[in-house]
Amino acid sequence: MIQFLSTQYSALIMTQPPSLSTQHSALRTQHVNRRRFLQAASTLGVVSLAGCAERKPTWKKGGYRKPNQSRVAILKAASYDRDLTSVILDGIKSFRLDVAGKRVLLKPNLVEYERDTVINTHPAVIGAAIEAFLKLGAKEVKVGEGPGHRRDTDGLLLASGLYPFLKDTKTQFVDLNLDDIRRVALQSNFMGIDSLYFADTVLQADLLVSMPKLKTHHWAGMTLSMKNLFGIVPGIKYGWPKNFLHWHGINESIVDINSTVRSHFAIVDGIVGMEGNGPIQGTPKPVRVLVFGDDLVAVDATCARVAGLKPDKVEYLQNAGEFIGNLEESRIQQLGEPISQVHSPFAVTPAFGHLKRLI
Amino acid sequence: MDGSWGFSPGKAGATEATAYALMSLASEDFARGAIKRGVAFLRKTQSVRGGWSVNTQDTEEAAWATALAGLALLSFEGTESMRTTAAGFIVRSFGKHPRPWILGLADWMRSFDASYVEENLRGWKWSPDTANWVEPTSYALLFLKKFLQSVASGSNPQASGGSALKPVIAEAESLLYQRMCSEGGWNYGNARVLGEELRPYPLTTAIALIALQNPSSPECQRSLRYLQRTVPEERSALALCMAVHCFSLYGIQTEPWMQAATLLYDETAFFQNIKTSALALLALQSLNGENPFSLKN
Repeated sequence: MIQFLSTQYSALIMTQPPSLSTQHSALRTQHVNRRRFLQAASTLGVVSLAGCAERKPTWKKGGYRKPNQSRVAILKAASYDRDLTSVILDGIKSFRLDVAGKRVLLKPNLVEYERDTVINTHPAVIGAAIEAFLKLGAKEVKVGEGPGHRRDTDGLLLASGLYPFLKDTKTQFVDLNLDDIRRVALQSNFMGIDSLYFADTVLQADLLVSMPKLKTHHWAGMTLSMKNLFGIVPGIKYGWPKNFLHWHGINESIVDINSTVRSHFAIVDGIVGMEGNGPIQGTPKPVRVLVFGDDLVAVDATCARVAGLKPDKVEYLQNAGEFIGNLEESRIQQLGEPISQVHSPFAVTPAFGHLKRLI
Repeated sequence: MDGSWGFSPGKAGATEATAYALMSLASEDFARGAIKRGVAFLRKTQSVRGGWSVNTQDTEEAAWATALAGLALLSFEGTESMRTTAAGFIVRSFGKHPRPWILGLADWMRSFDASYVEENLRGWKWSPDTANWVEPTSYALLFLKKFLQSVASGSNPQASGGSALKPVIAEAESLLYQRMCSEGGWNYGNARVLGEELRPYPLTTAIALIALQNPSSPECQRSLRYLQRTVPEERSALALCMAVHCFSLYGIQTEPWMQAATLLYDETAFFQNIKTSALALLALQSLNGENPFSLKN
């Protein structure tokens, strides 16, 4: 214990950073959320009294990147015990993804840990993705996440079982909640604000890979590769939970984050997903697939179709489908398994009953 | 060197990491230089309104970070005016959830009903214009209690506005009790969502209990029982260290959990997290009865 003590004291003394680049003098005027007020007022029928109308959300040129055609690959993966590295290699190779020499950041979904639940992206999938990207010649692979509820990411790494995979592959984990932060102008205007802070490690990565769990979400309908990027918004600035995003609208935040920070690729853990009251208290739902793609809107839309849900009724997908990526089935070339072969209808909470589709 | 600490080596100076590092080094003679630089950093970065931002890359003050800086400064002489302006900033940041005026009007009308229970109690937020949460409220509450003690023992308590803090402290305590989970303990601040009970977390439970420090409260006792039940399975060094602080304040055995934290250090080196390292040092010190969070000091 004495050695521990002395090591820690030394560490503390040695880690004072060398410079100060602070801008403490300028304090921003507190943002008045006019958009949210109007939503509430509209519900109560007072908008006409106020004599004003809501501004239509827009996007900047830099936020538009909808391709003519997108591709999504669905590959079968029976369980977490199988050789997932080769499945992930096959999935990545289905796309013209330039990995060689790139700094890759894998962004899994690590939310909470509770025994016998399927809340998080399974560590075996993350471990296999690390191996796959290294085999494809990545210069470095890091794993980063900023959990939305828990400040003790250290405990989450250990309890979730991810830490041994990181240790085995000597992979650095970055707690995006405690990372350096950088303010970035938003490329679309759904939240009604101009900018957001993001974790610097995300902005420095050459290749950002969103690795969500295939889950329902009690506020957004579904949580997939786009919603997963809530974890790149730093808790140190916005808190635990990242209530700032909720306050500006979950659906609106998802769209603005994804229009601004481009995730180049997505690998969805659908081996066992979660249905019902997700993203925490839902029920395990085996689908036995991994879903891949370089257009996150198309990936999420495909996952919704696999889950028997209508993507065009998921608000954030509907908005993102206008300018970030392709939502329409006709614009998505299906690789690997056809949707009909892996179709696995998910239960949803009553509030999202309208998402259910008939095939 | 600007005198600050980041959350890990090479990262930007963060108020929270700096505050815990300063607290952990406060009684060490060999660290005087580092302490002097750390306090100078806080002096330089305190805004004219008395607050601190979360780190050197942010431009907006945060009440929770300000509370932690204030707690750290309580250990150092010559920082009285910094603490007083910090307390002022925190009190000015105390507020309800923002609500559209029409719902605020409805709240006001309901308040005339004798059976009305105020649900939108004032507390502290992670960032302005959002909801109040357990952790920022706990930090601010603890700092204000300790600050109140410090001014009460000073030569002119009235001059520091100490009496004005009491109703703020009382309402913040009520908010914490209101947010407690049904089995005892706290998570980030929601006991129920969409009709479903949510589970507490050991870390936030320890933090709230430290802020309340009320052994005679049945709610605190229930939450302590939750923490004692769950801490043996805890794999977070941060949570274990906070549990050690908490248990030491409530007269509960702490050594096994300090030992568990030490084992995690052997396994992970605390992932090079400065805050966790500083809290571990503080937890070790608390085994000797030195606890900077104690209201008995």
